[in-house]
Amino acid sequence: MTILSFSFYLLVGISLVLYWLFPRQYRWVVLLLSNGVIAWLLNDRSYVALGLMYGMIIVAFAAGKLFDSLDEKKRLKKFVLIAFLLLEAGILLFSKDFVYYQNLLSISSISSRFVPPLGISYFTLSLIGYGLDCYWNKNLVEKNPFRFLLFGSYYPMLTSGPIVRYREVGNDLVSVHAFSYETVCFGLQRILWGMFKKLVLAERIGIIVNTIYGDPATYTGWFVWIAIFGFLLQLYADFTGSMDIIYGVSELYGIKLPENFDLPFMARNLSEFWRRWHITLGAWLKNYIFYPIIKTGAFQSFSQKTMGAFGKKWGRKIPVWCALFISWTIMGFWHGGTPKFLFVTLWFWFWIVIGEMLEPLFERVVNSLKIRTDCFSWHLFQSLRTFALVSLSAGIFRAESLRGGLSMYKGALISKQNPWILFDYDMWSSFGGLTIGDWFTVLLGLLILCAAAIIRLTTGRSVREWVLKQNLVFRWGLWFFLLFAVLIWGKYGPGYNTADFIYKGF
Amino acid sequence: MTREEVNKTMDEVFQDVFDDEGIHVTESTTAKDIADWDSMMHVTLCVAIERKFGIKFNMDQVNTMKNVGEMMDIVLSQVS
Repeated sequence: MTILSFSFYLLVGISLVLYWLFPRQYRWVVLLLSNGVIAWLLNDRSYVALGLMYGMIIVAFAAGKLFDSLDEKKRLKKFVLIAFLLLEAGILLFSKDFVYYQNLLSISSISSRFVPPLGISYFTLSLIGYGLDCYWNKNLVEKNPFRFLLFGSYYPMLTSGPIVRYREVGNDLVSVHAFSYETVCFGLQRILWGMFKKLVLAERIGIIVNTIYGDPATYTGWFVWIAIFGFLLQLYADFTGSMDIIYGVSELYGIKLPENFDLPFMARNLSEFWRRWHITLGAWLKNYIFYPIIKTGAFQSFSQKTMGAFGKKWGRKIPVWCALFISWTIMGFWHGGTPKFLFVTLWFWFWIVIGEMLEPLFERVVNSLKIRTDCFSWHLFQSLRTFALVSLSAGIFRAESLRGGLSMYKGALISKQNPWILFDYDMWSSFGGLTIGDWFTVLLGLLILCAAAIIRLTTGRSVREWVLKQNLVFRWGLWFFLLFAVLIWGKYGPGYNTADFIYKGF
Repeated sequence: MTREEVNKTMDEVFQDVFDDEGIHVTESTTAKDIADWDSMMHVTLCVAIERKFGIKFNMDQVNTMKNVGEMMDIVLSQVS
């Protein structure tokens, strides 16, 4: 079962009816129980996976309680923290990275039977965050194990996050929510919007990307650039689509989860991009890896040395770049730990550091050429530059391996250039089995995404709120259009195997 | 140490960290008000404040402080 399957929505529907029919104070108990059933089905009915997930949640709960009781015994408290981190992070790394290194070292398969729980990357980070918060501030310790169980295993978050902090969502999960027609409508609308992005747009772009990536010997030159830029658009539609469905399902219970995206393609540089893309992962790394590293005594004394050697301005930056390197490396291991993922994440680190190092030079060039930086065209240039740099990283992310990705790039640069393919109507009209109608659908989908972004930017509120302010005919017309677009143009049903969400299983 | 004295010393720390003598912070000053105050500079700033006042922020405070007023609250709770 996946969050795109009919059985999922049937179960969500039953769970919702029970949730809203029960007395207010017991609704979270209904959610906890239905959560267990849906999480079990999302884990392909694996009791082992479900048991491991609940085990990891119980460990985090117990760690929080221990930190509270050991507040005066600092050394023992630190020992418990290290044991907790090793256990939780160890299981995560084992499940994500071990298979790769086991194969690399030709060790006999001891992990092939191990099936990690769905969403282990997301809930493990949430649990580690909770443990660290409790270690630093004992007032945050949850006393009720069942409430904590709901937080750790909340099923909408298992597919692709978000990564949450207990202090932000813990109370909301168990607090009394009054039924609101508007909230439920908002939830349904958001699910529909997510389905549109995934089934209508991402699946179609995926066909183009898969065709090119599937035959790198044939598709060289400009085909590669089309696949790379196309993949970033596919990834955006796919990942934000899955998040929209997750947020929508959660809103049906009256529970709002922290947002993961904020118009990432508006970003003017890579640092800003990561504040707008997968926001909860970036915030987690900042709060629980980057800040604590920088604040250690070792980094502070390192900072003193670099300031002595390179002056105040650069001396302060060097330890920050080192801490960023560690953070991005950890992000690479979180994604899978293979050379491909490490390359993808360290690519961002490299350009962020280069950008900071060359900033004074860029400023001088811009000033000497008298380039205006307070206008739309400059912002557009910066956003396109960011998009291109992210695409180059995403292109490797999509490849089977780092070697395969780099050889594709080689094919793009060294092979004979073929820009005329852009105008080859006969080829594109049947490319990968797509029809001209499919191309128009992709174009229309991208235009709708752009329109939604413009509404967000100009009105400062969500598209759903903007639609709610419109007249009845327009409002309903818009939602019915989206519904029929998903039903008619969506890639699903018998004979079509909808691909999993790209970030499912991370 | 009074709140005014802490505020004045905070000014000096901010001016030193951001290398800008024109900076004057108030209780409501946030990262949005100072151009270079991003997540990378945030910890540098926290450590500089710790050194100046001889105090220690715990990581939860570093992660959650929202403005200069909250920083001053923590400083005052430890120096007085």
